[in-house]
Amino acid sequence: MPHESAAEDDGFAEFAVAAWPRLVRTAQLLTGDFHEAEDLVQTTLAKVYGRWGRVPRGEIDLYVRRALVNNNLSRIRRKRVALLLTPVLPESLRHTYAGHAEAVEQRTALQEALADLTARQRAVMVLRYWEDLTEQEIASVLNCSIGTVKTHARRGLAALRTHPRLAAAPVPYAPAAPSGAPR
Amino acid sequence: MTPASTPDPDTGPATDATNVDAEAEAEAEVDRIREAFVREAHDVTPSPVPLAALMREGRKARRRRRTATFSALTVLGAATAAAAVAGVMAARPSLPAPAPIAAPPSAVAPRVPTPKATPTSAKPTPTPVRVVASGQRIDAGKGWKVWLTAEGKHWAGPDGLENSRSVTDGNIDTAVPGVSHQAHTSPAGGFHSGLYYGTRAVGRVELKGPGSTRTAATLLELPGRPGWGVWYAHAGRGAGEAGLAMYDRAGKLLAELPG
Repeated sequence: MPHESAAEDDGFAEFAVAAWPRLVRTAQLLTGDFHEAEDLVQTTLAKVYGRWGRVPRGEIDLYVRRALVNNNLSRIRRKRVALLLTPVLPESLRHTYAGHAEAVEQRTALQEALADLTARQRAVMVLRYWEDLTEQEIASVLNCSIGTVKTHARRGLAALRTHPRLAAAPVPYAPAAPSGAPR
Repeated sequence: MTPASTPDPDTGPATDATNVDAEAEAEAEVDRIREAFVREAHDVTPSPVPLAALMREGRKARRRRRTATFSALTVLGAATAAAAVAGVMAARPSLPAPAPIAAPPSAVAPRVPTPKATPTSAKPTPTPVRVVASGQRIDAGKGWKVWLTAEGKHWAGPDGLENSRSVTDGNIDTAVPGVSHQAHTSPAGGFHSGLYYGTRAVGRVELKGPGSTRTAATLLELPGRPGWGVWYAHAGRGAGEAGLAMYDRAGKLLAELPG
């Protein structure tokens, strides 16, 4: 219809502009690839815009995060199918899979550690340690129980703690004094 | 990250100190991981938001959905009209035909028969289990698709968003009967689905709604009775609020999921 933008936007443009940088960063942690991250956020926001009138105004952030995580899970599944069906991997796929020497070299320790987690464990870790969501909020985003979130978080954290490159990475700030008061 | 001076494990205070040290060490590790996430996230510089492109795509998706909804409503309208005419023909000609009561608000008739949402207090009757091939996409109605693989349950909504629940990630104890529930609801009703597990003799999975309303779910399993399967149902408002129940073929309650 010819007269869309202003009335139908209803604040979407403003939301998208404000949310874009953080969503791309979240997607970067979820995917490990900058271009895939931007594609993922673009697809997600396009879908959100398609339903913008129905998105509960008090839960926009939750709705968008949920959509982002679900779209990412779908992307991984599609990729898994592509891997099964493709005899020789296209360049873009090879670079996102662990084991490829160049990719491993270029990856940071964190991306390498995250690549070893399952998609859901990874989502839980990103939502917990980057988005700072509570377990309850993560359960809402992932549409699962808090128990499941706790399990993913425990296993994910254990994997990150014991990952050789991440464990060996230098602490980016001065360590607490030996008497370090517990918080 | 072990402290330089190792405390003597034989003494009480030292043990306390060890615990405090371990706690502080764990916290420091978590802080370090959190820092790593923040650094990694800020390592990228997002491009300007492609607002025009994503709004164009969003409008396309909206138009596609509207077209699909319109088609579905047209089909539903025709089906309802046909049912009403049939009802009038079958009823006494002198009386006005009552408005046809659509059981669940299922718009498009799915290929798989959708179970009825019926207020019932009768003993649960077994629902046939449909055996499907791994990866076979089952049309669950209203644009929903459900499929099973050895890994677990997968489903996709009318908007194409896919999701899954694993039976192999260790979060489900398939040795004990149980059910899980994932709901996509709207004011008009919703699509409910989940896993059932811990039994090779499932008879029925029911969504418990307000009052004594029960909605029996369609049951799907992979060949060879793997001991788990998937249930799904379209149901009206409030379905599942009072929880879920799973029965065996003899009508014995195997598991309940509180609402």
